[in-house]
Amino acid sequence: MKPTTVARLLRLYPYSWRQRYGDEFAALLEAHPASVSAIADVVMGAIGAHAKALRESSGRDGLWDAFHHELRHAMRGIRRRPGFAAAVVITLGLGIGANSAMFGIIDRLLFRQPAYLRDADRVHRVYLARTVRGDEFQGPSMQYRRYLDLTRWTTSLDATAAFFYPSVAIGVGEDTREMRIGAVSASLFDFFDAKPIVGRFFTAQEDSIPAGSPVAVLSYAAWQLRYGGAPSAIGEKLHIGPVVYTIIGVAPKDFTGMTATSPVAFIPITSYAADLLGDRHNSEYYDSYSSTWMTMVARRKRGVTIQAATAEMSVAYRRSYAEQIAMAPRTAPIDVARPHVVLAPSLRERGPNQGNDSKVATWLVGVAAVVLLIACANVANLSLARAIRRRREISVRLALGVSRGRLIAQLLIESLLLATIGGLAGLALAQSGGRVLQTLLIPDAAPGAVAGDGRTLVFTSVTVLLVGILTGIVPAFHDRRTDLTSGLLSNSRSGTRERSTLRVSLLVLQVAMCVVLLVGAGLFVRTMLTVRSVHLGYDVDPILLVEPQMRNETPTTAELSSLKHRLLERAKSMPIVEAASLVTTVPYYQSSSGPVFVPGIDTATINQLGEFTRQYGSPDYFVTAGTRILRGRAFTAADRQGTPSVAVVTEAMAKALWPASDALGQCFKISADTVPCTTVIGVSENVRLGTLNGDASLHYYRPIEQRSPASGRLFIRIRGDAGKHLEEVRRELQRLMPGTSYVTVTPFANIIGAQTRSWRIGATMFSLFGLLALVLAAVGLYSVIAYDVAQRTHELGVRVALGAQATDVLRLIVGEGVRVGIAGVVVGGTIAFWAARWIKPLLFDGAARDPWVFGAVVVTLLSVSIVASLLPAARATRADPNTALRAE
Amino acid sequence: MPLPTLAPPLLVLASLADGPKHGYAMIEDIEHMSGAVLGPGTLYGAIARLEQSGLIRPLQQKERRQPYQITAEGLRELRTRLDTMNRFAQISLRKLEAR
Repeated sequence: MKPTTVARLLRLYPYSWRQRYGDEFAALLEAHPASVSAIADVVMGAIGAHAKALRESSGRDGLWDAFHHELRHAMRGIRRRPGFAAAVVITLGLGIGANSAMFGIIDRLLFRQPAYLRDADRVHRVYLARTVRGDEFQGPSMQYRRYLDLTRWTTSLDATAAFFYPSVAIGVGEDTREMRIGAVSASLFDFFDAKPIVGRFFTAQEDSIPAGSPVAVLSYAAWQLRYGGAPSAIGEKLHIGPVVYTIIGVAPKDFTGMTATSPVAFIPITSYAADLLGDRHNSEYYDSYSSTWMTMVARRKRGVTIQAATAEMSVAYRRSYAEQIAMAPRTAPIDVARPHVVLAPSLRERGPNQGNDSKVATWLVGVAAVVLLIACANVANLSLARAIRRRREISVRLALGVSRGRLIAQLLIESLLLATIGGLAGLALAQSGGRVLQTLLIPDAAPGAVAGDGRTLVFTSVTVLLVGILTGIVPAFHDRRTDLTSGLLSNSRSGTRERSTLRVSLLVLQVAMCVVLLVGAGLFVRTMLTVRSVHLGYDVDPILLVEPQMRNETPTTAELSSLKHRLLERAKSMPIVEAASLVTTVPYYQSSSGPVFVPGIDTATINQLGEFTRQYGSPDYFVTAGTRILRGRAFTAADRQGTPSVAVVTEAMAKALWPASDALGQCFKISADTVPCTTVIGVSENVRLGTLNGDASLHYYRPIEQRSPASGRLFIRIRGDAGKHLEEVRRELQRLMPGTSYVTVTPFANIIGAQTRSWRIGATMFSLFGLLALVLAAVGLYSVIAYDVAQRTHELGVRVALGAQATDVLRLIVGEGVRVGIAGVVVGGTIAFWAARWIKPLLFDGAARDPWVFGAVVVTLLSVSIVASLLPAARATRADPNTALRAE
Repeated sequence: MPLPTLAPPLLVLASLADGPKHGYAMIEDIEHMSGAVLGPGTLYGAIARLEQSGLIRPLQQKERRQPYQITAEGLRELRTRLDTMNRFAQISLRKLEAR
């Protein structure tokens, strides 16, 4: 075995045992070949060692001996019936695994405080609320100046801190990559019980206005990755944006500050604001209210209530707002804006503006729990069938003087043992499946282990305990009714009647829950299909977005324009590139709009139509984006600076402005009605730019050459999969970048994908869990009916002997399965119909009671119940009446 | 249904009857003697129990391997058990032959 495996296995043993035997046992294990049976043997040995240690410390030998005896009895039982045990372990493993994996996700989103955070119950994210046109908006973003105001004008707070986690270019040359950094105030470190592993954190002096010192604290992961964990990293230089930072310390493992995302390094927020935030914010970021960018966190003093702190901070906010009005008189008046502060929990997803992803994740926790319930019902059913079969054995034990309490304990120990093994299988499943879930649900977070995580292990253990009791209690209490005489007299035929109500109810429950999950899956899948069928008016998958970042360089407009053209030409020369264009805006990412004026239409009428957005592009824009020109022409290389201003408008814009006449040749003016006419030379298909639902955008295109090619970024249309060629394109274009400037390349699909993420997650996960539920329900139905058929061999034999045809027997058995199916569908359908109103807001088109989805689920479930009962029914028809009657 | 195999502590005692051995040697010896393959967890469970009852004792460690030796009391115990088993075997065989 590998030393790491050996070390892990050793940890399972009690401390005192390891002290005595640890070293020699490790030597033995290292020499021993690794196999599942060897590992299982070591695990069982550890359980035995713990039981022994407990017995010795508690002195309750008798009870422990009894427990030990029953445990051994249960293990023998499992070995005797490996099929039954495997069915239970697999069923519970799937159920428990799904729950452990989901717990890992939801715990990170909603419950687990950032690592090392002190007094988490007194720590709050500060949200600012304002009323705009009658609606109140709450947001965490604020100005640095506002943060200073709120800090300086409050006394109920112990500490405040500012933070911002932007993506910034790190490194130089071809290795330059955009990575996340933590721009934080020095005071943020005081919120945590974290000590730097090497070196030190930066101080308040190094984080002070007007510009903080260029010092950086590396994250643990970056320290390991870039410097191999060498202490000599202290004093090394790190290029972050245009500035060379000196590394002064390394943060402890898992320290991320206030977010789940692990940044490469932490730098003083005042250094970030002064040096990296971009020219327009550079001056006096600490003295004006012009730029809203960072987030604030505050810790209440002991004894100060949330209400008191909120009230005092709101007063401070109003005072700060008054200052803002004094500096910028056009700001909305205080009595209109009604500014106030909201203190939210330190976890972002528990505050206002909860993301759709975490809502879907919360739903999925419920879904996973339902899957586990189905698994439990299944196992309870299997155990019940087994308990009925074991009536004779149980009666014999009762007759031999074993107490009923001990019998119940025996059944519980058995079910707990099976649940424990199922739990271990579930953890293994969650370990691999959890990674997939995590990348799906919280892609930004640092990867976390499932099996090695204490909280997940505790959750799994509690689940195992509950599942063990739940699945054990049904047969255990069923056995309480076992009457000695009838039990001893029982034969293989009996037990049929009693099973009816309880077992059939469990089955109906399973089918019902399965219906609920499948309806959920169907709704999300339908939503996804609807979303996919939304025609955006441009292609997404083949396009890469290239953004040149001019770090440290201050080129003139002409130089910049020339660089952009060189990038464009180089891109076009690549064989994998189909077409390329300079663009100024990116749908769902950044837009540009402004007033338009049309001769003959008054401005108020035009304003009522809505917002007019625009895109500037190269002659190849429409080929690159895949947007069709319906009438007229696209712009060409001839439409350049100095030639008459031209535009292509979308059909929606053409219809809105010129409903009665052809838009081609019409004149409109951009930004002011005093500028020369822009002539419409073409009409393109409609596009959606900001939201997937709602009306098509009023949008127009102009040649970038007639405006400023220097301001463009690049759209590149790739032949084949754009994502695969990302690095190739980046390297090729990076060669053209001067000095330490660099390009970033993003698949356009990533930008659009963020819009549809929650639906995609819902569709994937509901389908996965729904399918799991369906399989479990089908297996449950099959096993119960198969068991019944086996029990009724005698009865069926008599029926056949009396002249019943194969079809009669078939109808009899399948009829039972279908009756269970119908009952489950009715119950489940009712629940799904009733629950529809809660799932409605999560769906794209809000149709949570889609008859097609309900219909499809009903058909699926009924078909499954027919198939599941057909197999045992077919076996029953082959029953030879002689054999059946002789079986007694 | 397979019959239960011999108890691991008895197998360990029997293995140590001809001289001290460390864990891995015991596993191999026991397999050779009885065909039973003892897992490492089971072996050390038995070793811990036997040591606590004073039936075996550890010798000087060689590198990381720990040899064990059967004690006088262990030999007595082994002999008693084997005698019982022997008697049981003799009687059972006689019964078989009498059929």
